Amino acid sequence: MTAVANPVAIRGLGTVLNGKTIFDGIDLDIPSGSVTAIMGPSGTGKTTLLRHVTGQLPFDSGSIQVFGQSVQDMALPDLYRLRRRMGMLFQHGALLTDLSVFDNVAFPLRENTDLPESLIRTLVLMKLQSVGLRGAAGLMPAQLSGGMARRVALARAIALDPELIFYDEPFVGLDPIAVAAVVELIRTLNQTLGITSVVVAHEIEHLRRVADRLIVLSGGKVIAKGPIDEVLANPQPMVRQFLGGLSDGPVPFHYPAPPLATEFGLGGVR
Amino acid sequence: MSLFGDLTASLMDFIRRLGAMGLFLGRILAAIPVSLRRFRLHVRQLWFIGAMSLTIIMVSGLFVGLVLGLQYYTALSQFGASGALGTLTALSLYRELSPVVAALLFSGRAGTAITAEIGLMRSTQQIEAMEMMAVDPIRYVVAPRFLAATLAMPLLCVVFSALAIMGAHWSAVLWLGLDNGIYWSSMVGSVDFASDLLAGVFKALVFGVLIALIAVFQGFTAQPTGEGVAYATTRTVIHSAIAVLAFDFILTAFLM
Repeated sequence: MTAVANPVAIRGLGTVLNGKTIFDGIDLDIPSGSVTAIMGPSGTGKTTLLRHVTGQLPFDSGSIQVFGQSVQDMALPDLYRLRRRMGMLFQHGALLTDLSVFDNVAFPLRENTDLPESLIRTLVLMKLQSVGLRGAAGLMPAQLSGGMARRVALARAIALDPELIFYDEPFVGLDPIAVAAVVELIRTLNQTLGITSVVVAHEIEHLRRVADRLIVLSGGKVIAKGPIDEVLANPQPMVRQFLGGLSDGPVPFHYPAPPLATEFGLGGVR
Repeated sequence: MSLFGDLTASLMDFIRRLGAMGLFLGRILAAIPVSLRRFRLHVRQLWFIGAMSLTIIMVSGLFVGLVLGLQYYTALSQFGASGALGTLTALSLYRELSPVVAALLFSGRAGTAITAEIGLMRSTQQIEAMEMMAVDPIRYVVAPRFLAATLAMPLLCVVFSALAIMGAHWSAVLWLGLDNGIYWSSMVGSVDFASDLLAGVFKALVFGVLIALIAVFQGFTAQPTGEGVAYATTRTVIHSAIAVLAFDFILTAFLM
């Protein structure tokens, strides 16, 4: 397998869902070995973007190349082959509830390889050790806290040693200790295994600790991208509003609506 | 929109969903050979879908038989024909009641469970997670449930018949005093193994395919919300009941 400079390259991506334009010709690259954060207001399509990149959701125009291969129009067996090089941490872990922690991590290995059970056991315990949960191997998902479930899901996501990993809102609903653990894990996995990482999140203070690069999406476009410190210093009003957490600005507080006076039948009152 | 327009749109949507279900069936059938390599998954589903439905099937079968014994005895004794009770009970059960009633009960017990389970897996992103791990959920989740439901249905139909025959014996022979020998001999003498018993089992097999397909399809295509799963589960019961009764008519017409 040849290494590519940008494991993910998006050109002119356009998506319309239910009559609403989600992406309007966006271009972006995810450099190899980087931790790239993607931010943007709620409903701006961050998770949709991940679903496009992983081939789970078709798009209307443009192209997405993952490891130099076009994901659109890819046959399912080819897509599955490509996905074996990727991992994904879902927002709430998405652990298989009828399998134990051990079996959840073993799942992709058992289904995608012909490794003997003894080797699978060793690999699973190593992955669980890396997220600090070797001792929880026998527990069921219902017995785990939110943070533990997220860490088990991370162990499962790296079970096949992916080259590219996506984190969808990895900090949501976690207590500060669990957040610190997840931040540390993302950084460690990136540095020790060289995994290219894409993190979709809102929490700037956590992303500062983990990301090298930042992409800000709004209104279907990329409004800022580059090294994280440069983007955080970007003077554009929309970027400032988002990063500063201001409720009103270029992104309005109010959803588009007729004037209040018209709504209340007070024609002459302004 | 006009009434005609509404009807046309509904009809088009129905045809579209029917086509989607046909394609889905094709994907399931293609996935079954690979899925069988994980044999334990199939055994587990057969236990959950088949064995766990035994209680409702056995209890219902017994009560249906008890009622048949009472009703037939009362009606037949008016014409001095109570000796035909065994024949009438067996034929109505094997040909009609067992496959249909067992199928309706099965769709309520196992069909809804299948839809709700797959729908919840969809809403908690477990299906999506499998796809991301390059595991085909049709192979891992859908095919074992489809096969288990298809195989369980004829077996449950036979169990239902057995318990109903016992129930009818209980009420007609042990309670109302019909001769035991007449009850069994009339049954043995007039029931044909192939055209009566096997025809009923064949019906149950077809109903099993229908219920299994509807249940897995509704679960797999459910909206990933609590409301979506609830709607899908309700649709499974309604669509299964209509499909079973409609196909019962078609099969009866062909098998008679």
